[in-house]
Amino acid sequence: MAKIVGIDLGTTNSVVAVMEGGKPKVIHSSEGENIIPSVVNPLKNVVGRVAKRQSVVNPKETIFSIKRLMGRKFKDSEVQRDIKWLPYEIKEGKNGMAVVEVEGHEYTPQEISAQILQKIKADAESYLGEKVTDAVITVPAYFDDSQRQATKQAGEIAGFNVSRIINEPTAAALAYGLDKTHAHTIAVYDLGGGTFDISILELGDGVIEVKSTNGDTHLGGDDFD
Amino acid sequence: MSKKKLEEQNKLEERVSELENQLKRAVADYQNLEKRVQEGRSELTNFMGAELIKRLLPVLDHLEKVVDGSRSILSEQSESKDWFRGVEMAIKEFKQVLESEGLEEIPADGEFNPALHEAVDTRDGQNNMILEIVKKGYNLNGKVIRPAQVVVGRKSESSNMNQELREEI
Repeated sequence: MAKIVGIDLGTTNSVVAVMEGGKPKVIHSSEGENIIPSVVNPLKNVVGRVAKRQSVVNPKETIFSIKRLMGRKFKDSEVQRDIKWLPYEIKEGKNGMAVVEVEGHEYTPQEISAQILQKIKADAESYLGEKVTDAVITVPAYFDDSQRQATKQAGEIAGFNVSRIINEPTAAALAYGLDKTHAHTIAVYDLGGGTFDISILELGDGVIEVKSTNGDTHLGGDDFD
Repeated sequence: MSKKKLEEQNKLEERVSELENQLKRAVADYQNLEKRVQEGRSELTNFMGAELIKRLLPVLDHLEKVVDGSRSILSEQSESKDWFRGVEMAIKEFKQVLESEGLEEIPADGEFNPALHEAVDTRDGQNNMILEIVKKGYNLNGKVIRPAQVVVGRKSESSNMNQELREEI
């Protein structure tokens, strides 16, 4: 039976895992690491750690933090804030959506994310020794419909059948088996490489509801490590 | 057969097929796991070796730096020369042991290649060529365990403009 992989498509790093013997197992990348930097140079066709190694040489060609643009309009205040510090060019594309431009080539955030997902797919296939087509991808609880749709599209471009898009804090609660205990309310802190989120979840009867979510979209491990 | 019994039988049949599927899945899972455990055993041995060697690399860096730094000072003091040669030989021996485990220095001259090198800075110079090695990189049995940290040349804006001007003239 074909395996379904779970993907944390992060702002700074991405991770892929698979269920083995009833437990999640993180799949290492071809570089032997548990994480894959969410970095792409679309012109040179390099992704992950290798793309990160050449970012100093090609700062305008190296795309990182693409998750910040996923499913957002160019005029969105978050995009306007990010334009000020991201070294690559961000433009207004089709339907007013934010796109990146590298050496005259336009790429949608979905296309860039798809390159990360393609690497994830290849690494997972090489680990499992079989084709991987089905995936579950996590997104922040605050992602709106357009952002979730964009993430799903990225998965499809990469050749995945996206079985489900689930909230990151929900995935964390499931990973700790908190859904199997009594009904209660929990707080999930997610200190990532570039963002810091907190979500309040209500769990009960196998249902997980995100009651509230907040955080700092520009604070993470990269700021102090 | 009464309707109630028929319903019960259907339910049981459904349950049987559900359990059968679960069993099939569990067996497949087990077989995969067994295969992976076998693969994992040799991988683990390699991994442990790689982890140890990775931790020894900074020690080697420091020893090489000490030797490089001392060479100029010691050249005039003949008394210390023998002692210095001894240290050099010890480092050489240490490197030979690591090499016998499959460690290879990554060549870091010529063109920058992100698969082997990590750019830590850029300077005016020949485009995409390595100008300086900040930290040596190593392969272990053909796999990069530490990329070479290098400074890469980049054509400066002014030299680009000069070139364009020359072409226009």
